[in-house]
This record gives sequence, structure tokens and C-alpha cells, in this order.
Amino acid sequence: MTQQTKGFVIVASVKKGFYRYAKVLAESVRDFYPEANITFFTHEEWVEPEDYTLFDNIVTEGIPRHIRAKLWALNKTPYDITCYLDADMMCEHEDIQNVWDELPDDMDIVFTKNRPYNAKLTKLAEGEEMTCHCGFFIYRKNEATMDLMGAWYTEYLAQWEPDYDMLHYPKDARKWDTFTMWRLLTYGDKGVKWGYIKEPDARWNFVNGYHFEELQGTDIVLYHHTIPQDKLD
Amino acid sequence: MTDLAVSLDTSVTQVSEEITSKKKYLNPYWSNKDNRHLIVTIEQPNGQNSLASIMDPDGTNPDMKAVLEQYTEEDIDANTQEGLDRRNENIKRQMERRESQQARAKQEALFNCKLEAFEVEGIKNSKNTELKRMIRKSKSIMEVQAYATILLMKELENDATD
Repeated sequence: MTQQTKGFVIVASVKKGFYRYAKVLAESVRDFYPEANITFFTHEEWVEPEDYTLFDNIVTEGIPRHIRAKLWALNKTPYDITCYLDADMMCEHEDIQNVWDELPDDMDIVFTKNRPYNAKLTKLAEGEEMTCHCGFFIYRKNEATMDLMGAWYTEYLAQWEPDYDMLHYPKDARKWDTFTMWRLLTYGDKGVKWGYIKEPDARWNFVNGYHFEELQGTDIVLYHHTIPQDKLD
Repeated sequence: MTDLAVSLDTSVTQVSEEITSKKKYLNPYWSNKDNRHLIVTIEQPNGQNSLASIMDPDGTNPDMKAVLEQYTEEDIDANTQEGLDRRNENIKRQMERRESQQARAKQEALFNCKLEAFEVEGIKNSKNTELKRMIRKSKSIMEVQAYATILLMKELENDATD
């Protein structure tokens, strides 16, 4: 059996701040996991020569200038197993090398759980809640997952169309790609086997504002901050 | 000066039984039960609501009598407890929000400190992975600064021996 390729995907588009922070993230991953495969999707004019030593693969062709360019990039991953990382993260632990173990053999994609106390919007309606955090996830390259990722982008674009029917869901949900993914996983027919990373999942995507108790005595592997508006340009 | 005087009727009208009976008393609760001090929302016959404070230490206040015709003391006790529970819940939620904001500010400060440390050329370009990892793993600003200083000192030592 051939060895499956494993690597990280990071995307930076529209605002150059995302590009700068993506490099900060990649440097932090390299410090703990020097042999990591990292593919970077970004705009050609931003790429600097030294980026080719930091990333082992840089994709610039065709990348849309879109705030959710990540959704476009996801089904273009070169890896059999991909760990997607939002650009506004930083690695803080060598356990990053074991991140692949978090995707069980019988799953196609796994997420960390949203924490309602720290999220702008999770509850959509009675019994309908967006529970997957879409800033970090691990997925397997197969037909169903690639199909899901493709639909995530096209459906997100559709979600912004003026005649898109938001049904009984809050209008605020429109801007969230989490809402798109939630709809695809809940009402879609992609046949993707999805689940959550086992607890303490928070250590893999410790979002600023999470309670430290969420770590259950473990260390943060990936810290997820928010880039201040004035640092985005 | 007399031209400026305004004629006002300042006489006080006693609340009659008839007026009292037309009012509705909503959600009464004790402000101080021992002093027979009650807070209640009074709905007037014209539909207007007003919050009223009723004190009845000697048992003669017609509003108090009217309230007690609509509600038992147990009802008022229950309303009082419910209000207290609600207030305590609000205080708890406010404290949680404040704690969460404080935690967020602290985490942000630590993260920014790490970012700044890695903007220092000597740290950014250092090959001392062990100390760089320690900076990244630091759980306080003090720890970041301590490891950053150690790393820079080692870099200086290396430069001196080269």
C-alpha cells in the first residue's frame, strides 16, 4: 500500500495582512514540525523569494480575489489527507506532528466544535445549531469530500445572491461559510462521513476567548487569534 | 410680583375604594417584607402602567389591601424569590462575560508579545529551535520575555565566538 501524503493548506487572499499572518503561522508550524508539507494559496504579486523555503508548494494560478478564497482552494489540495488552517493561527506545540491521528480511518472530515459562549452566531433555529468550527479541519481526499468542498464554494457564492432564500434562518448567517457547511452536512446528499475531533478538541483550535478548562490539562497546539482590522492591509 | 403668581390646586386626593378596585396590580414583590414594603406594577383603567412602591406598616394602605385581595402572601413571596433568582442569574452572566473579556484580553496580549518577539531579527533568524519553541509555548508574557532574552544572549555569545 502506498503511503498517503499529508500536508497543511493555508490560504491568503484579498488583504495582504492575511499573507503576512499566513507566513507567521507557517514559520510556527515549521519550528515544531520541520518536515511538514505546507501548500500556500495566495496572489502571485505578494509572493517573495524566501516564501519558497517556508512553503513547499505555492499556488497562485486562478486564485479568486475573494474573502472566502479558502473554499475555492480546498478541493485543489495536493495531499491525500489535508489539515486546513486559517491564516490567523499560530502553532504552539510539537503535537502538531500528530494532527493526522485525529482523523479516524472511518471518517472523511473532522472538525472541532464551536463554543457558543465564544461565537457570534451558532444557534440558527430551535434544534438547528452550527456546531462545526470551520477555521480548522482535517479531511481526506476522495470523491465525496472533494465534491463537498466544491459545493462549499459554489453554495457560499449562491448564499450571497439577492434572491437566495434564507428561509427562517437569521440574516446574519448569510456571511458565514460555517452556515454553508452546516447546510451541506445537514441537508446535503454528498455522503460525506463527518465528525468531531475527540476532546479536548479545543487544543487543536484554541480560539481567543476559549476557557482554559477546555484544554482538560493539555497544551494548546494551535492558537486561533483574530487579526485586527488595522493590520489587514 | 403678584402678576407672576400661578394659582395651583395642591390639595391631595384620597385614593377612593372605587378607583382602587378599577386598577390591576401586576407582579407584586417584597422590597422589605418586615416593613411591609411592596413594589408592584399598577395598570390603570386607561391601560397605562406605572411602577409603584407601597408601604403599609400599619395595615391601612388601600393599595396594599387591594393587592392582597388579588394575591396571597405566598404568591408575593414566590414573585420575590423569582425576581431574586433572575437578578442573581444576571449578575452571574455579567461576571462570566467580564471574565471572558478579561481572558480574551490576556490571551491577546500574550499572543501579541509572542508576535513581537518573533519580529526581533535575532530571534526570527535564530537556528536555536529549542528556545524558539519555548517562546512559542510560553504561558505568560514574563515567560516570553525571559526566553527571548536567553535566546538573544546565546545568539550574542555565538556571534562573539564566531
